[in-house]
Amino acid sequence: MELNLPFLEKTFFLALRGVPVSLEITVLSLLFAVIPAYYMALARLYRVRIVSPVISVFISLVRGTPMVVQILIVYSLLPSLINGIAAAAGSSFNVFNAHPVLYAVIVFTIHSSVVLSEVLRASITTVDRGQLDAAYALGMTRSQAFRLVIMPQALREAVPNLGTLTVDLFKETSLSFLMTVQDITAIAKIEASYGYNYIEAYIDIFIIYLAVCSLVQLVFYAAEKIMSKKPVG
Amino acid sequence: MKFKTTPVVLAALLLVTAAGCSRKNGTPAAASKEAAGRRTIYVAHTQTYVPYVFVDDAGKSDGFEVAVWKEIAAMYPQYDIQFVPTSDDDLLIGVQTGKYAVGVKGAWSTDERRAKYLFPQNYLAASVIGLTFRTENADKIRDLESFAQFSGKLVPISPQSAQYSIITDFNKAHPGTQIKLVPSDVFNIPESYTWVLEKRYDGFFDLQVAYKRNVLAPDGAYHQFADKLSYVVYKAIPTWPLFNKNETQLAADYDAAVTALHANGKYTELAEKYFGEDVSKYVQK
Amino acid sequence: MRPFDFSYILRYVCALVPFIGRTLQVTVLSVVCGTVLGALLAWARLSRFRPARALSAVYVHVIRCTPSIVLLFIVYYGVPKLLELAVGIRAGYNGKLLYVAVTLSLLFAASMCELFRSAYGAVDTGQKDAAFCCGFTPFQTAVLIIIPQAAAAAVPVFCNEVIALLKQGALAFTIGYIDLMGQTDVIIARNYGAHGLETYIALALIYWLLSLAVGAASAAFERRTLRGKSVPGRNDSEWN
Repeated sequence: MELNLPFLEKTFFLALRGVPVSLEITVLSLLFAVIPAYYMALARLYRVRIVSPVISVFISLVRGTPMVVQILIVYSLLPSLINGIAAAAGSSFNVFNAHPVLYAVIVFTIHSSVVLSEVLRASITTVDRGQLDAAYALGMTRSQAFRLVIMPQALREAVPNLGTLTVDLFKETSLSFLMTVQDITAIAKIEASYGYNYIEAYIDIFIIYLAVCSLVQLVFYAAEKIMSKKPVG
Repeated sequence: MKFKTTPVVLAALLLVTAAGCSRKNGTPAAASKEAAGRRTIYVAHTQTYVPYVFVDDAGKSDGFEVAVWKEIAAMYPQYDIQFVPTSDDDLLIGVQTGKYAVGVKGAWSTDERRAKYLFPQNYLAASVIGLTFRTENADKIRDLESFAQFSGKLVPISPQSAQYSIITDFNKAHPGTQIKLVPSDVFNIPESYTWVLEKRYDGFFDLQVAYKRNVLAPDGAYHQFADKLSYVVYKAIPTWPLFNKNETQLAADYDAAVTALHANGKYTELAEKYFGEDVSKYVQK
Repeated sequence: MRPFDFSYILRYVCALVPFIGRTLQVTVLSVVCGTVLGALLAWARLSRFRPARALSAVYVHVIRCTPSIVLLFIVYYGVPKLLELAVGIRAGYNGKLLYVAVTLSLLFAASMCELFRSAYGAVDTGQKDAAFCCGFTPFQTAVLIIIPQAAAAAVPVFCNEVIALLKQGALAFTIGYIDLMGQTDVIIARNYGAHGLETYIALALIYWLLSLAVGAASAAFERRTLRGKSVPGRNDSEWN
């Protein structure tokens, strides 16, 4: 089958404009997810009395339900709820003017914090208990011990999984087209709809994702190499 | 580590994949051969466009357009018509590449589609499309133009849907007052009615069939809001089957069959069954 | 401003339950094939031969950078074409399950390779040295020493990946294969779009139960593999 090469080229450059949007959502979601993920992992590891089961339920809920339902809830139900509250309070705040990227970031932050907490939990368990004892013996408090001794070692183990997580998140952001966000996939699909050039559009999407994800993975490979250097002495 | 089992596993994987791909659930060899004068025609159709094309509880192909094609199959014994339920994307690409002879998805005619597919002379069914909006604005909104003037905030539409091109054409024809067309992948649920009700958007490009079923019908999910919503018809648009460019004979046979169905009343009978009325009366000849 | 009826949720849960089998079929098939392929890739990745390492790395890299929809299209349109050219078999119009399973296996294998690699690295090298000193063959070391300990670190993330795979139903629907998620759309369409929220909640409930089952199995496995191992945060007797 012949490919429409001019379309292929034109759409490629158009779709590139979606890269900053996709990256923005990915990076912001990851950044906002770090702290919640860390504390959720700790709560579950320590089996903190009331908090841990609640967090476990929350994690299983977010992990176990399809992304589409989560998007539906955040994009459609949440604004309705806020609108209802605002109307009841008599305020003229128009929640519907919010930029859709905001909703995308909220959904993906919730999703990433759950996945990230599982990765962190797994990596913390790989650190030898003796490290913690030694840290206490040196007089460190628990948070110091974790910050200075446990987490650096845990993160070293976590790097490959973090790479997987980031790349998966980046690919997942293509769902933000459901929230009218114009990311890479959105732009390509819109262009394709004019002339029904879906095959060329998917090829463009493939190339762009391959390029960006390759860069992301390179970054993580580099991080892995740096972290796996044995400490001196 | 696991090297002892790898060749075996690899071979097994390949076998499974090959076996699955050539499994003859749908007679593969007969697909393009004119065997014994009977030719198998694969008619692809989508599964969620009620009542035009869908699958029933048992997974069988159903819908007005499918029913018409079953009648066509009865008229032409030299065609063995097989229905293949599939997705929008697969249908569009498949008919283009010749994997399927025809695609039935309640499709409207657009210039782009006419360039890629063969359209017959006779349309298959018709859908009435219009605008759903809040009754409180009924004095200001009477049609699409006045809606565009009012605010133009339309519920987002998927760019793959023909509705998108209709609005795009409208905007091209009305450069001064345009409708704010927002492209987006859409949810399959009528959040649109809620969005219009809560003023998130001011209008929803809606099928009359859906509006009747959801708002006007006493057991409709949105019937409780029937006084708050209004509907104004925009156009009746015929729907067409999409033929692969090479299927000229099939398209001609289809045309003859549809004319016959109109003549002997079978068409009206089927339309009553699926739509409750004869939709072809809306289409201006 | 939104019609909602709890009774419909139960009704749609019952309507969806028959389709659990289809989703599970795809998932189990993909997990099994993907894990095996992933183990192969991890072994290649850690081997002494550079070509094996390079091939494995390239595969994982490309597959992980490919959005699943694109991969599915490549498999769905590419494999029949290849078969036609190479062997002359014309692929049938059914068997969509297999295309989805193949796609998901390829994706899962890439994740598994990375998972195995990181789990393998998590095992203390001292263990391998000790095994060597005790006279274990490499195979025995792997099976008796490395894998049990690596499994402990791998299980939570494996569980994550399996649950993520479970939810790839939207993927199957793009080529028309109806599983749980596809059937949800069919049900909603049959209702002319009504009760969409209830239907999606029913779907979410079913998926949640499935993922809880996977999580429970994973937690049980974790408890077994971590038995006797003291790690930070795991030692119940020491901390509150």
